[in-house]
Amino acid sequence: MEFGLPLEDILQKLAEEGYRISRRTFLYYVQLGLLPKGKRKGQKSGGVKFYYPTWTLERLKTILRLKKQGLTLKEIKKRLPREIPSPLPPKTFPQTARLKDCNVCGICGAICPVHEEMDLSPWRLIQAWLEGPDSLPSANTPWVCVGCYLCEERCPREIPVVDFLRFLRREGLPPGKRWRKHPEWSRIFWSLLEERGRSFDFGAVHAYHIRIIGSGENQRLFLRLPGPEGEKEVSAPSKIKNLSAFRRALEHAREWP
Amino acid sequence: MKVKVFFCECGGNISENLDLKALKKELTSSGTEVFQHPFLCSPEGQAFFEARILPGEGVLVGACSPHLHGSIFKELAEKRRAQAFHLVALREEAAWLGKKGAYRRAIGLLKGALMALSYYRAPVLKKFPVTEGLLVVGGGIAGLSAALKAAEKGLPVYLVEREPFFGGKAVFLDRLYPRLECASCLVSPRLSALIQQENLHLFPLTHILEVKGRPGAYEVTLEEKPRYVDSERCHGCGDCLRVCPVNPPAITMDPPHPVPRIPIIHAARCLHFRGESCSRCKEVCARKAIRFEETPRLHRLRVGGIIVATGFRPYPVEKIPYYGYKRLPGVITLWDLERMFTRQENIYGFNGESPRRVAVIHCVGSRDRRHLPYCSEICCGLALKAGILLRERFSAEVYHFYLDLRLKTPEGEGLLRRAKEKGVRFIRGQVAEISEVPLNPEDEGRLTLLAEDTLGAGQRAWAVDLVILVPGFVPETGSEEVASLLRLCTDQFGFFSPREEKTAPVETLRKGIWIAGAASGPKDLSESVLSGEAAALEALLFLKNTSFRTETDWIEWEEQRCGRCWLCVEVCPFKALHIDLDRLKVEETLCCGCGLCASACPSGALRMKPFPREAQLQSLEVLFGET
Amino acid sequence: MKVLYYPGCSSEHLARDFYLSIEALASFLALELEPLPDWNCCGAREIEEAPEGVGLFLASRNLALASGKELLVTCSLCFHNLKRAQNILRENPIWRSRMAEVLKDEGLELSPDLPRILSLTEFLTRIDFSRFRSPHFRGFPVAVYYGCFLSRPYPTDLQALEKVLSAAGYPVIPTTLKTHCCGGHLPRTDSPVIKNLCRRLLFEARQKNASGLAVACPVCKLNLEIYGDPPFPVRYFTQYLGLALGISPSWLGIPEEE
Ligand SMILES: Cc1cc2nc3c(=O)[nH]c(=O)nc-3n(C[C@H](O)[C@H](O)[C@H](O)COP(=O)(O)OP(=O)(O)OC[C@H]3O[C@@H](n4cnc5c(N)ncnc54)[C@H](O)[C@@H]3O)c2cc1C
Ligand code: SF4
Ligand code: SF4
Ligand code: SF4
Ligand code: SF4
Repeated sequence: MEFGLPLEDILQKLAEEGYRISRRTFLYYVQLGLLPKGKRKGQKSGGVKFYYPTWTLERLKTILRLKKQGLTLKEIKKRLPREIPSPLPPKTFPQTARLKDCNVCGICGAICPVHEEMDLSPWRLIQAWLEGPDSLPSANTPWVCVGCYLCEERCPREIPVVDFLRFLRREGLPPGKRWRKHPEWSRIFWSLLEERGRSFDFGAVHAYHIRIIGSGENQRLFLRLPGPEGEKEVSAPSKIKNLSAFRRALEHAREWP
Repeated sequence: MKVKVFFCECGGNISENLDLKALKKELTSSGTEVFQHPFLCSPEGQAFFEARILPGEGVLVGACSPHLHGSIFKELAEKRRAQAFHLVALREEAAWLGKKGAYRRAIGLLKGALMALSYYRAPVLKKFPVTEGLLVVGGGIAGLSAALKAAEKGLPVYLVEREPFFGGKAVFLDRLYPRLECASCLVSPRLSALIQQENLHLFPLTHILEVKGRPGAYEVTLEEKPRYVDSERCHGCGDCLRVCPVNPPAITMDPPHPVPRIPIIHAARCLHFRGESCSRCKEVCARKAIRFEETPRLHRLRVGGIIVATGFRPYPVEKIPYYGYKRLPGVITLWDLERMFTRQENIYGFNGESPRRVAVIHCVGSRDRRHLPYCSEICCGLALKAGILLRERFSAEVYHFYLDLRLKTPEGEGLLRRAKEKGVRFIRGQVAEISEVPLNPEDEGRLTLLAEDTLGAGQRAWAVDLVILVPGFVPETGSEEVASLLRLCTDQFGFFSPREEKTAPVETLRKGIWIAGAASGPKDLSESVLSGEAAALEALLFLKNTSFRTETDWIEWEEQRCGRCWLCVEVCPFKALHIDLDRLKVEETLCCGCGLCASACPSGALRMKPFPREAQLQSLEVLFGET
Repeated sequence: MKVLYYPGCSSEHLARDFYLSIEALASFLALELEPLPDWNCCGAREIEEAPEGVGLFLASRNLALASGKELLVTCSLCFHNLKRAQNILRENPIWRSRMAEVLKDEGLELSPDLPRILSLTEFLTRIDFSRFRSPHFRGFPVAVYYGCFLSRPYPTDLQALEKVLSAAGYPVIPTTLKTHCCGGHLPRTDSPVIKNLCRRLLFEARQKNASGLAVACPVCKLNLEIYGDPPFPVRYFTQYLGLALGISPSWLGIPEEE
């Protein structure tokens, strides 16, 4: 289970974004080692297609940009990160063996406080995963879960339900089946965190009730609580000391899948 | 001595994980003759085995555990006057541990055994006399069925029951799964047979204090707690029951059909014993049967064998806090319900009224790693019985919450059909919580039950008035003590283990001790009776012979070498060793030659005769060399 | 006595009243509260969206800053995140060495002596509040609510609130839902689910005749206040403690008009 893109899709996506490149050039770049090698995969129709890791797209764009600036392929090769990252390891849940013990008793769904908001109960996703990762339906469950651990506390088979949902949310589900809960809030949260080392926790609850105007020193934050108080301005979180080192470390920490 | 090796394929159990051909090749190359048979224990297998042994030869068998068929092969070898015999459990110790490494383990064990065989000296078969009496521990349906059968055949039987009345759980049941027939109509005739049977001696309120002796001649000390009512004088009129001022009464005769029909005074509740001047029961009793001065009595018995039938009990569901048992009114167990039915008590729901909607909850604590990681097999049927009765008697809406319905026999299926026809509803989902706090305010005054309808639309909350919890079963309290007094093996949950599950279900690893009823795992009434009678048969076979033969002379004690640390006495799991005036004595019928004492002895004063220390050490060396 | 504590982001806005009351209590009890120098955000629930390393880094940085000491954590979610990270660092040498490497970027060291993380609830059980109770204070019945992260999966003392509040003179009403969920960080605020959960929690408190509900987590309090219908008095347990000691409500972050 790996979610690479076929060559045709890569070329088409590039075309949509205004880059032009032929199939032959693409393969030439692969030959030169500028792009990663594709993986053969038999098709239902009978033919064979080559699949490339999704990051190939970004890398190709960089190559084309650098080429436009007049660099030679040799120079470009030097500029690009030397190691072509190996394709992502297959996404597996390390505790899959424990999931097999699920009794399908429904306790996790029954006790889940936010069950009504979920498309599917946790156990249905567990069963689908055991069926094979491709059978995973698209469901908001991993994102709706508030992490209360009631399900794990009650599960008669001691299934690591919360870890499993966390896995689905982070890496288990392919991009097409992901569910973005509140991109706007997420952006604000992370930008504050990166700018200051501190953020607002309550934003998580009030995803739709925070507003930021301006940036840098002119930044102003408004908060609207549901209820009669309405909107009020609040000060931005205080800052930690060495922000640039903090940011560097944060970037570094993102490296591992 | 020439040694012949016999491999059994065990119908694939051994040969699938173990390359017997290669084993044979390796052993043959060092000059040993090897034979192989697909089923060495079958009639053809045995004939094959017997025909190939010549007098004076050594025989090594590679088959299943010696507990299973070891004696068959040993006897055949002896019959052919083989000089030495040994068995290696190729199945349990090599094949079943997995394909990986099976071959090396097997070759190590076999070569070690071949080495040891050269030291072999056969144990001596000896005859021991048998006393006729039979002790039955536990007077539930299993124990009394066993006692009745054995007594009928003329054995003197001593039936020991811890409670004041006989019959066990069954006397408190109302109707019986699967036919919903009246329970006491089945149980009470057996109970009355108890009193009429001459060879039967009843010991209510009694437990075992001590067991000494050996199979065929056990000496048992019993302690009988005081009843405070003289059983010779009392004729069971019950006048005393009506005058007791305490609530609940301190003098009772609880079961609907009590056997014996003699009340008991509960000293903890009785005013007389609490230092007050009450003696109303004594005054009212025309037969002058009340005897406050009674004290515990000891009884000493000599019996040849013992049947253990101590039964089971429902899992204590108060250990599952989120079901609210003992905290919430309207949450009761099936056991409570049965007793309410037999006593014809009124049954009220959470709000104190007759229940309009009832939930019957299966698998309470069962198949749950934190409580009972197993299925108790009989409870689904019992739950179904309760559901039907509640539907019939209260015309209540009845919902069953189940995980898997496990009903045996066509009758079980019939009962399910009957329940459905009557409108009992079935929801597949385990209950996550029972709470007095409603999810919807309009359900106030009812119990809120959370469960996911896993086959339906996923409904999550139900409001009900009465909840019947149907838990799985655990061994009766105190069975650990019985196990340690009698040195019996139990499984990890405390149920007594049979010698062999399928072929010797009522025998134990101890000669002269048998198990019956729910003490060896959850059983319904018919299964309990069945195993009680099977145990009686085994007991009769053993006790009706005046003697039995067993192998002896396993160990030898060298008095000069012994440092008197008595580690051996402590270590022997069969209590076969004791100290007699500074000398070690071996109780021959108890020692089974396990060899633990010899390996524990720090001064080498104990010698295993069939396979002495040198033999053991050499074979261990071979084993470790190979693996 | 000096106490090192981790205030968390909510201390600056959402749970200002919580922190006011904690500080008021501390000064009353002559405890020197010292915020963890240069602490950073624990990442709240958002770390679930980012690679594992990010959440671990945010926690590890705080753990490194407090290494070897006892660290008092006041917000339940921060408590959970720090505990979880600490467990992973203890059990998984790979993550441990990765984090050590990342922290080097900031010149920090991940010492093997990780801090001892202590929840505020457990910390306060060390103090005998019966000794400090104001003579004028008349206790009224309260119910307590721990919420999820003090109960699972790293359980704290689930009698702590009962202990301190009853020592302070409040009859504490036993409830069954004290470790249930208030809906927490449910990403939709217009959902009826969160309203039902909060209503149920308050229903029990009211049903059992409590006059108030003592909570220990900023999110729980906010949810219960906003969605609890009909409204019911919900306060931080530290505010209740402060009242019992005779501290003025305004110092405890309790609005005048109440
Ligand atoms: C609620 C409930 C409903 C049931 N409904 C049905 C049904 O509808 N149909 C059906 O077929 N079966 C039913 N059963 C099962 C039935 O009760 C059992 O199969 C049967 O009781 C088992 O008999 P037993 O003699 O093995 O054990 P028990 O009945 O448990 O008897 C064991 C006896 O041993 C005594 N004892 C225990 N330890 C000691 C000791 N150390 N010393 C001396 N005495 C000791 C106990 O006091 C007890 O009297 C039901 C059981 C329960 C609990
Ligand atoms: S509670 Fe556990 S066993 Fe039951 S359905 Fe959920 S994961 Fe499976
Ligand atoms: S941890 Fe998530 S899935 Fe489990 S009960 Fe809580 S909210 Fe539901
Ligand atoms: S002495 Fe009195 S209290 Fe005791 S059993 Fe007799 S009547 Fe009851
Ligand atoms: S050989 Fe085993 S059974 Fe015999 S006395 Fe020694 S330890 Fe006991």
